[in-house]
Amino acid sequence: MATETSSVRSSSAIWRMLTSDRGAQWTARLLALGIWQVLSDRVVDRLPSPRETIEIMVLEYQNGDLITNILVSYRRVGTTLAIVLVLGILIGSAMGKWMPARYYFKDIVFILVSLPGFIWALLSVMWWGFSDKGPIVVGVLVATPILAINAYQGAQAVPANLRAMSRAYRVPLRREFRSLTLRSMSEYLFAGFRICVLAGFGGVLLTEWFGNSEGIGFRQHYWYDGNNFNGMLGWGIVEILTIVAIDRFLFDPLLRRLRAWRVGGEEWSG
Amino acid sequence: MSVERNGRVRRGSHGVLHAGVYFRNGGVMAQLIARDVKKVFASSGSGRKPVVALNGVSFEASGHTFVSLVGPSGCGKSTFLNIVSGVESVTEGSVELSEKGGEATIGYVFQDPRLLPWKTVMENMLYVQPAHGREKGSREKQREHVRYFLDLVGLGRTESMFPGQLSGGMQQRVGIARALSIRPHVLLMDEPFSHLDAITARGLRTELQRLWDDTDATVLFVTHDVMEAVLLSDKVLLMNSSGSIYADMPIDLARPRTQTDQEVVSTQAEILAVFEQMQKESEQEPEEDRTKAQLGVEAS
Repeated sequence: MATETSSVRSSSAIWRMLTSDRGAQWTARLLALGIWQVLSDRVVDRLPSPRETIEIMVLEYQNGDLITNILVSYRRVGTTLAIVLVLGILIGSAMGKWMPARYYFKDIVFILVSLPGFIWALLSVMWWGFSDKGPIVVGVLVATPILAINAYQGAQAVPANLRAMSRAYRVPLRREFRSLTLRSMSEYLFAGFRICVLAGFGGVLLTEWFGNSEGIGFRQHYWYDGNNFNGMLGWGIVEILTIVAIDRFLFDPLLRRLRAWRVGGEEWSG
Repeated sequence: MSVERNGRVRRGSHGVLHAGVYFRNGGVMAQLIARDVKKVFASSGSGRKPVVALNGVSFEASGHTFVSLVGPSGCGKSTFLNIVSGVESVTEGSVELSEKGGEATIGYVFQDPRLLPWKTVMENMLYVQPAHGREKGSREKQREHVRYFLDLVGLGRTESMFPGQLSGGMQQRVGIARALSIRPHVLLMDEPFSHLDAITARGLRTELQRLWDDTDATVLFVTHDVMEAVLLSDKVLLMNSSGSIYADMPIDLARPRTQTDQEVVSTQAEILAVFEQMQKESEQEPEEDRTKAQLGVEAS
């Protein structure tokens, strides 16, 4: 009797675990791995299996290439995104606030958005060769317009009545920009910056692929030239994991903090 | 005296909070002079006429005075407050606002509370404060200062709450505390109780009389409620729909006043009679004549 009760308890605990949010997350991950394995075994020729991919990345680690090249790309992407953040917000908010700035930047921003990163990557190799400058400039050129457009839309969404209140109280411009303008724009900036991370990363890696001797993009190209798809895919996974980690450990907590007032605001019911 | 030296509020014997000298501006009083103020808003589309919001408004107010601007919707009352606050500029004429020749501080209570929804009550109050010094403890002093005014309007316990967690009346009280906290020489109030229920509005009117009585501020109060104007004001300026002052009526009644005071009721009736006369004259005046007169003002 006691054994039956404990087995019922443990099976319901397993069921609860499987149907929990975390359970759903792990089920999706394991399923993706399973599909990858099946595709590599039976469907797609020359698709490395998860085991083969991990093996080659372990080799990359052992010969010192993994960490070195990751750090090089991270440094470039970090610099790129810092520049994008400043330029994108400045250009976008200027466009939202001042009509002349809107007309000045509008065409430039839309032309930059429509130009593929591929073109910039090739041009940067011609202009700057195998230097740090190329990947960073391409990343900035590809990602800045995206953030600028989002910042522009955000700047237009700043409540006019709060602006008037700030003016009436002679709130210093810097404080108004930080506490009102930037904060009203934050959801737009957030959405824009999320895409910027993808675009900036893509721009940097693409340029590394075409004309660089270091970085994740360079290693991918290296293995492509060596006709080794295990290495190519392995470095692709590094890129994906980085973007997922940024999203999970940086953007998610930040977004929760930004939206704390909304949650708080819903508590009042009277 | 009900105020401690460090600025914290102490309750009086009847549980009423007293501001006392804490937010008096050391006897320094502001002077507001409006001379022939005209404001024309340009039309936003082709074929639409410019809108004349104010048409030759002139008056003076200084020191501990409560002036109400009363008039029908669209007569330019709020525009006038926006001009005084610097949010809008005049088309013609001038508004001078000074205290001892320097710049007067202005507090503004709007129709809606206009609080930053993502900031807590305390942060909203700090948002409008002058920049605090760099010396140690100056930020904490500023928080203490702000707490004093939150206590004053009975919201001392809400400082870490977001505006969305407060009722409309509480938010409006934060708006009033915010305006008082900068120790204004001039306090502008644009129909601050119009969005509130009658009971809350009545309570806040009483509270406002008490708070203002402890300041040196000149109050410009916009309302279209004649009873409210009589209850609170030293002077009522009646504005007509062409954006001019139709009548300037002093209210010499003892304070504190209540809605049921016989004198308040009879003064209210007198002002309403003038108001009705003004409306009648306004209806008799052909629309075309009014527009011509206004555009003539613009052309001049």
